[in-house]
Amino acid sequence: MLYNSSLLSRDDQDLPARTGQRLRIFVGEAEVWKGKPLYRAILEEAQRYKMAGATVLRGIEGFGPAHHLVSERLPDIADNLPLIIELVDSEEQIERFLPVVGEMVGHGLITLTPVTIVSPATRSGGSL
Amino acid sequence: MRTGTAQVLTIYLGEADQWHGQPLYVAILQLLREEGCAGATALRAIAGYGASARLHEGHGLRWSSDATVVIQVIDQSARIERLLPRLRTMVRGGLITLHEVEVVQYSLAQPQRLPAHRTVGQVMATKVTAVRPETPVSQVVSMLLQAPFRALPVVDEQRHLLGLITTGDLIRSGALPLRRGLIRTALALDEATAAQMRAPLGQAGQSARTAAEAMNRQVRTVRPEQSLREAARLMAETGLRRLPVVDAEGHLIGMLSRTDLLRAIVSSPLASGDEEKETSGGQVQLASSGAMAPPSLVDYVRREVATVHEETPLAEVLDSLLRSPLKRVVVVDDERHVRGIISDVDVLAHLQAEQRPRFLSLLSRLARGREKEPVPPEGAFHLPGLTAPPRRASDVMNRSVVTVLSSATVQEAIASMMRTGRKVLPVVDDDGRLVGIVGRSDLLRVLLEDDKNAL
Repeated sequence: MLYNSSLLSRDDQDLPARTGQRLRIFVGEAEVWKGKPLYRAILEEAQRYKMAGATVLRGIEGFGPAHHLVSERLPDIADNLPLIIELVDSEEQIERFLPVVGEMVGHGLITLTPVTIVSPATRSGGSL
Repeated sequence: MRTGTAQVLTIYLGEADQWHGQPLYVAILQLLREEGCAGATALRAIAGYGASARLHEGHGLRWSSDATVVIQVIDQSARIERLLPRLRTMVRGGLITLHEVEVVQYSLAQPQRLPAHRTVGQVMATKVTAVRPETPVSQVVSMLLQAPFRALPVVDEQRHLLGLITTGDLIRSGALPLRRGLIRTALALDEATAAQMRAPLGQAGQSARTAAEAMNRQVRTVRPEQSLREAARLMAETGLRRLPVVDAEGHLIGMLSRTDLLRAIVSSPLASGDEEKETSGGQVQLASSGAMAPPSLVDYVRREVATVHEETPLAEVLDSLLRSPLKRVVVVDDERHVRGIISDVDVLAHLQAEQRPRFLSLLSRLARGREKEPVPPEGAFHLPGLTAPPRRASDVMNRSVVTVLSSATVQEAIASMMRTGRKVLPVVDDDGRLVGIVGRSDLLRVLLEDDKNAL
């Protein structure tokens, strides 16, 4: 995961720690958006919107609005494992990106949590 | 597009941790699913250590690894709270954290079904205040006046259910003069009215009676594994609004109220537990697309509704009000457009101070004799001295009426009640003309419908 610190530090450059938002998108691995895997499409959109970074985590088991019970333990039901796409960015950036991702996620859950961004603190902080 | 807040529960454990012969994380996910949780995801870390002080590390060979597994559960706080004791037992010593998130979007893969098949155990309240048989009635009265609940179970030392005390029982035995809403309104009004309420309350405070003497011993109960439909049927048949939930040995384990059932009808799994509080963006949207049409409100509306005009004299208004089954009069104009609504609380609040005692005694007499369902003769509610305002319906009516369209769904009507705190909604057509009225007991009937509609 690479965080582009120059993007993260657009505002509040002088503050040692800044507030931001963590956006979490819960989708199924098998979901498709315009012919490509949904999580890939979300990543590409995030880049287009110059979001500071994104991380995709694959769950080993789970259930939710986008998938019934799935588990890597049982190959028969391992076809749609839960994915969590996580983006941390400034509130403005997240606000800008929300409608885009909302449109793309048909079945799934999107949550927001305020976070304190401890590092990178300033524009000169280098990448994570 | 904001839809409210939810709680995130995060559980950290080892992949090799076991629970009754299966991996602990599998057992936890199974429990969460059975309890109707909105969703949960288990993630495997690639390395870590924790409370158990073992170094967890994922080995190349997946099935023998003891990596840290993180389970994330996102749900309404009420359900998470209910599950926490069991999760704590399962995750002995493991780390469990809670934090709040904003739910921006939540959409179901399938249209929302009515929860008639869900169990009582999944929606009951588990934080139940109970009293012992030797508790003085005075204490019971003050508890029931202050608490959010309307019924106090009476239990022995082993928490066996012995009986139930409701505000209705206390009214019939004279320990409470009136129902709670009226008492609270009266206490907040002028001094003489408040004193009229305090006298009987004070008497109850002096009384040497105990909970054992005041309680109802013939209590209808439900078991946690019974379906919501069975509970709704019992409520519909008996008129009860609260049912104690007991286990096979008769221990009290929860309470199920009519409100719990109504909330279960409108809640998608993630909807926050207290929707009465208006959140910034309303509630989690219900997916209503799909083949199954949601139940239409039209089938549950009462067509007979007490109506008056703005000019109707107050005595006539009282006549209609106290005879109406839902204890509400709707004020309409000549085209049946809704202008206002009147309840006994509205009347009490608008009466002159010197008229209130008579009105309260009248209500109090009616409340005590309610079992016999007396139909008082016309004119029985005439209050003397109504020369000064309030004289007409328009003087006492509540003008901020919450109405619901007859084309709405049952869920929409319930959601509107939860949001606004109204217990009775006038139902109007597309032109705003009154077509009927609907109360909470009417809407609960949706759970009784046959499987064709309800599932």
